[in-house]
Order: sequence, then C-alpha cells, then structure tokens
Amino acid sequence: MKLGDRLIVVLLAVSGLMLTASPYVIDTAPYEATMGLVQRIFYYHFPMAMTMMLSAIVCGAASAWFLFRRSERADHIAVAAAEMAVVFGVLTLITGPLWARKSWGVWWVWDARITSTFIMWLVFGSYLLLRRFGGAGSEVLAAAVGFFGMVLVPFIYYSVNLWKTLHPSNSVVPSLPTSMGIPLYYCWAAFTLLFVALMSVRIRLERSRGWLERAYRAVED
Amino acid sequence: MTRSWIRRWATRALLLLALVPAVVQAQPAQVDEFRTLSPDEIAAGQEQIPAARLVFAAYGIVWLTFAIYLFSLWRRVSQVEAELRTVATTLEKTGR
Repeated sequence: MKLGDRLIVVLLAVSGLMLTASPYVIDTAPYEATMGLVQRIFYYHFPMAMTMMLSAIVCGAASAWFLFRRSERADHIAVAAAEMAVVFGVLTLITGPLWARKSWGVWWVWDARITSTFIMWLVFGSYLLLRRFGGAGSEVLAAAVGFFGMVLVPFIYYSVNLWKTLHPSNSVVPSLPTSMGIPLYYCWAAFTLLFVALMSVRIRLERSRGWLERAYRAVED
Repeated sequence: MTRSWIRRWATRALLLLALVPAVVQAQPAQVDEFRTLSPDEIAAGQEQIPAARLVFAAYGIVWLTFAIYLFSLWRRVSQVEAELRTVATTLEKTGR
C-alpha cells in the first residue's frame, strides 16, 4: 500500500473513531436553557455547515485556478469539492429543519441564511449535473458555476447580520461556554478530518478516471 | 365613485401595511448566545420539549448518509481501477 493510501486509511479511521465517540462527548455538554435536548443537533449541524462552506471555497478556488491555467489537477480538486459541498450541504439542510421543528415550531422558514444556503446547495448540485450530462467542454462552464458558488459563502455567513432572521446569529459560537465549546470543536475536528479523507479518495477517483480516458484513447489509436 | 373606491382600498392597504411590524415582532427573537440550563432548572422540568426522536433522527441520518456515500465511493473507485487493469493488460498485449 502506498503512503498516500495509508494516510487516507488513517484519516478515515481516526475520523470514524472520533464520530463514533461523538455522542459521548456531546453528552458531557449541558442542556441549553431555552431549547433543551434538541439543541444537541447543533453539534453536528454547525460543523457540517462550516464544512459545506469550506468545500465551496475549495471548489471555487480550484475552479478559478482551472479557468486561468487549465490545470487538470485543479479540475479534479474542484469536482471533488463540489461533491463534498453537496453531501455536507444536504446534511446541513436536513439537520437544520429537524432542529427548527422544535425550536421554532416549523420545519422551514424562508429566511436569508436558510434560503441562501439552499441556493448554494442548488448551485453545487447544478455543477455536478453539468459535469455528468454537459458533454465535452462542460468543465469550463462548470468552473464558472463553481466560482460563483464560492461567492455565495460570505453572503451566507453575514446574512444573519444583514437581515432580520430567526437563525441564531454569528455571535453564538464565540460566546459558547467551555462546556459547550469542547464538544463543538471536537465534532468540527472530526468532520474536517472526514472531509479531508473523502476529498483525497474523491480526487484519486477523478485522477484514475483521467488515466482511464487516456488509456482508452491509446487503445483506440 | 372611482375616487372614493381608490381611497377606500388605499386606506385598507395602509392598515394592512401597519400590521406588518406587529406580525414581524410577534416572531420569536433571534438567539445571540446559548445559555446553559442549571441542574435545578432541569429538575424543575423546564425541558418541556421531548426532542429525543429529532436528535436521534438527525444523528442517524448523518451516519447513514456517510455510510452510503463511503460505499458509493468505494464502488466507483473499485470499478475504475478494475477497468484500468483491463485496459492496461490490453495495452501490454498489443505492445503499446
């Protein structure tokens, strides 16, 4: 087994172990006063939302790199990150309503942060559909879509400060008591490691597909 | 006739607009920080929302999604690598 493969296995194992232990770590956190038990969804919801935004930034930056340099490596990173944005995004959009159902009494509200997150998820979903069904040359158009997806990140982050919204504000995490902060940062670290491991596997898949395409061309010639 | 009709509807529209701030204010307040619940408050039964099912559903969905995604990734990688091996064998046989 190559060193890179070994590293991926280690990353997957560590993140898997950390996530297995996460309910026990979260259990050490005290109950939040107004929301009670349901607030514990936050320890998964927030890290996944942050990872989704990280994926969007990685995809956008790699797309920009691809648009300027036409680098195959950048294209592989962009595709992998777009898929991560969709996976982490769908989980953010599922765990959020489960939390909202008890906290706000509704599954969904069309407020600025939730709506803009949903739009970003649709943008990266479109990116993947474009790559899957767009045919030859779709990678350039998809790169432009990925770049605009990244532009949505600051908009989503500051939306709670700019508009009146039900969503908890950005001041929640910095003001967390240590007893709530430790489980949050633990889960965030676990999901970030998982993101790195999945990205590595996904990039490797894209690279292998590139080799396969070139090998088929060589057979045809 | 037309003027009085316009005036009447304009008055109604203004009254409706005046209700908007009241409706907006009726919404729950935005949360700026999380406050921990003291053991006394827990004992007094202030955690009135039985939310266990939602928490389990959230964690369960996350775990299940990652399990399915990992399986799908593993399958795609295996398929591509198997195809690569086949093509490599073909290329070797043809001496390219």
